Amino acid sequence: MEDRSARLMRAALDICLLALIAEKERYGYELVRELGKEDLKLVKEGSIYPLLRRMEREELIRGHIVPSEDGPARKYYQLLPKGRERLRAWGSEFVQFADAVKSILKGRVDLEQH
Amino acid sequence: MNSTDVRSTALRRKAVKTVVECEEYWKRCRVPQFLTQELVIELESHLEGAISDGKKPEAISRPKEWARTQARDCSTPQSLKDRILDWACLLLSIGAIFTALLHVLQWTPAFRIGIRGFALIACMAAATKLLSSPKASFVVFNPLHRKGLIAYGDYWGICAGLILSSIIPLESVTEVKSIYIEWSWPYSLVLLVGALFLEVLIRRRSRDPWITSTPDMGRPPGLALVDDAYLQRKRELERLALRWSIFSTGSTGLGWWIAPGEAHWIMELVFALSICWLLYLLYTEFTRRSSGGCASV
Repeated sequence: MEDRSARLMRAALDICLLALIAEKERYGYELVRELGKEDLKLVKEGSIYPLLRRMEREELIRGHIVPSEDGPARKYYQLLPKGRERLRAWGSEFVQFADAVKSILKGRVDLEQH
Repeated sequence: MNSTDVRSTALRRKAVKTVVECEEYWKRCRVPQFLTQELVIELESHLEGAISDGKKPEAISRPKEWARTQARDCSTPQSLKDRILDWACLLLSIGAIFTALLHVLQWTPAFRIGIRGFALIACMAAATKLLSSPKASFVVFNPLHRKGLIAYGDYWGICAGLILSSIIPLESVTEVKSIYIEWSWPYSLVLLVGALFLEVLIRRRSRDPWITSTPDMGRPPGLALVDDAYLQRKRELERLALRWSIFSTGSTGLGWWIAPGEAHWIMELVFALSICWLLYLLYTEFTRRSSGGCASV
């Protein structure tokens, strides 16, 4: 069960990250924290960074280092226009998919028991 | 200092250890310098956030696992040609150092060298490659990982073990077919020039176009609370290693002086290695002192 939810999480992680970054500039741990607030626990917290780097290479987001006086510097990510477009496309695709799954399950499976 | 502060400092100490281990791993994986700096920044800020949320660094991820996950898409695998060049350069460099030392120690422009001599160079190259691999970074070379032992001492111990275990079996072979060649100084010169040429070639090939266009960010402030403590401990260990190396060079020198027959030859090489290592440690010590890094310790 855990493996399945981890796989689902992996499939939706890039959209979630883009959506969180779209809201405002965020750094790595802040993203993990926000996902945790929504009850989306990552199996490996470090797994978001390769994904962020990939999105940076694809020019969906841009990272910049912000030094700090009293602690380590942070790398903040901001959404780029290409990322905004991609988020819109991926988001509607995902919602469509989720709605389709929901309509299949509705009336056939008693989800309240879970 | 209350118990919360003590706990927080202990957690930060663990976090610094994680950062040091991961950074060493990324360097060994040939992750470009600017990317390594970014990875360090991200790891540090992640650990800082996790600690302030009351999590333990080991609860986030084990250092090895974190380092591998991040290195997977940052390091560039070496091509076969680059690997061959690396090996050739290493063999030539070690060969050049050995033969130069033998010229000096025996105070002669020419000497006889047999199979054992070449086997020794190959063993040293293999040991150096083995110990400089990313996998070794979590075991051997992290001074924070040790408790009172010296990482340099480990290196020496492993090399000495490899050398002795290779020399002793070869002894019986070379006794029967004593193949020796006359080694004169022009050969040593060729080795040296060859090693330098390959080194320049490797540096040119491995120059990353990103590095020239991306300014060096310098070392970020990091987990400042314990960064200084870590540096001080590292310096202490390095100075201890220096003292140990001076002692071992003196001992092996004495051994070389008094050892009879075949053992004399082996001790000569061990002595030569000690001198090499001592010179390296002295070089790093003086470099640090000249840049003012060691004045306070």
